[in-house]
Amino acid sequence: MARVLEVQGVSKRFLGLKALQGVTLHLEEGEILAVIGPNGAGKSTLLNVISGLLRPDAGRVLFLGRDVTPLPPEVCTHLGLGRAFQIPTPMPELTVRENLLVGALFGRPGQSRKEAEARVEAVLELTGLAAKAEAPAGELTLLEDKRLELAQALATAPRSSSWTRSWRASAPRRPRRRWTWCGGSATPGSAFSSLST
Amino acid sequence: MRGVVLFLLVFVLLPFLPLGVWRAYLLDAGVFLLLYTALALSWDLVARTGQLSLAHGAFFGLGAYGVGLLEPHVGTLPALLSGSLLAGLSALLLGSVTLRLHGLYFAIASLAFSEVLRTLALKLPFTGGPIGLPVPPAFGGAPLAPYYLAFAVLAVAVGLSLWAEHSPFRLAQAACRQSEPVARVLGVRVVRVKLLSLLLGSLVAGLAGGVYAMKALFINPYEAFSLGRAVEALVIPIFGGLYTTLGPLLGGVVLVGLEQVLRLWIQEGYLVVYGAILILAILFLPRGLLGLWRRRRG
Repeated sequence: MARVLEVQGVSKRFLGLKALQGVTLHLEEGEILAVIGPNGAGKSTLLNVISGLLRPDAGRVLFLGRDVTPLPPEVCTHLGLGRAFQIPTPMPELTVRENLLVGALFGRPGQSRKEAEARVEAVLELTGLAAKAEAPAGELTLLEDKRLELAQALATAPRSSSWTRSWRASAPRRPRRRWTWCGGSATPGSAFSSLST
Repeated sequence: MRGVVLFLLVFVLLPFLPLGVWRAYLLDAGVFLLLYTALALSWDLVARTGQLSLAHGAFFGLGAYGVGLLEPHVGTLPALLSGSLLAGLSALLLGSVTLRLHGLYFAIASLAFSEVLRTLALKLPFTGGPIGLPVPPAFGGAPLAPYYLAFAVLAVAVGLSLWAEHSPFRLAQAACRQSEPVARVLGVRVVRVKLLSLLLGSLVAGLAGGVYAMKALFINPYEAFSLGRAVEALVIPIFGGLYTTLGPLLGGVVLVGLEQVLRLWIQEGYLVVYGAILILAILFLPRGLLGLWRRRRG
């Protein structure tokens, strides 16, 4: 089992407020990890640190053994990491399909438009958003919004062959139910699952 | 797309239409209409990334001064290209320093940039200072040269805009505009997308300024670097319909045309009526002329 993600002693404070202190966790291949906690517990901060949107004050984030702490988020995404599921909302003026195309086209540089479009189709199918593909993302319900965020992350496809497997493994035939649970929880992002390699 | 082609076709053929006594006037006004529309499109190209540029008057002015200073030595086309490159270089400079700023902060920085350039044009020893600079006419004064040069500039602007609208670049721009953090997490190289957009926009604005100088035959810092021009560049797309190719085209024809008509008709004080029409348009056409048209059809 390869260690995919490793967070070592991460701390982050905002002015006087201590958001994270000495967070250490790791994720093995195929594993699913949920981070739960009440409002203000620091879940979002942790996700933002992992995806590169925030720099931690102390500690490191390793992805596939490589230190990604100082890297900007787009580079993390290109490496195959980088989906914080709860950054604001998806882009409301674009359709659902276009939202996914952004991730599929730019998440992994140097691939063809055809490949990206094919992956978007697969992700739409997988997340049950196919019927909503042409709707503007701003018109989705909260639940569909959550699904779109997941779909966006999947569309950036780290090593595309493995993400499907890990997703299927995580929720065999029942993606709908799983995300009902997430959408129903009070805070968006109270579940954090990493679907990497 | 059909609308865009039709639009260009009308302007290619305009000099050959039987316009009677209006011909000279229409072709003259047409040059400015084409140039301001091109400038508006070049502004929209930057706006699509969510950046409000007030530097387009400055890019325009740099193109104009580039032509004014170089045309006597190197001829029409090389001077035009150099003026445009000058604007492009300044955009790269401005962009690499300021594009990490968002929205309003970038707008203020670009405004400051434009004021700095105007002051330079006033004070530098070779620009003619506040008096200005005479500019030789294009191609030694060939009659239709300014008109077709202006048309060519607009065609370049339309070409770039259509490319940006129909390639993955559109999604990159839209992602930057709607949410930079989301765009970055999805792998979009935000700064690079914004910088490229600003570069393309400034190149077109520089070309427009260059042709303007050759048509006006005289430029001075107040005229070339006027803030009014930067504002016109943003009013036209807002009026016509933002983030599209057809929107600024429609907006340019209607607004620049309207200005001309009002000037002939009302004469003194026509700008009051012009302003009132703009206010009404902003209030009742939030998505511009194009939005109105689409609502009718849909």
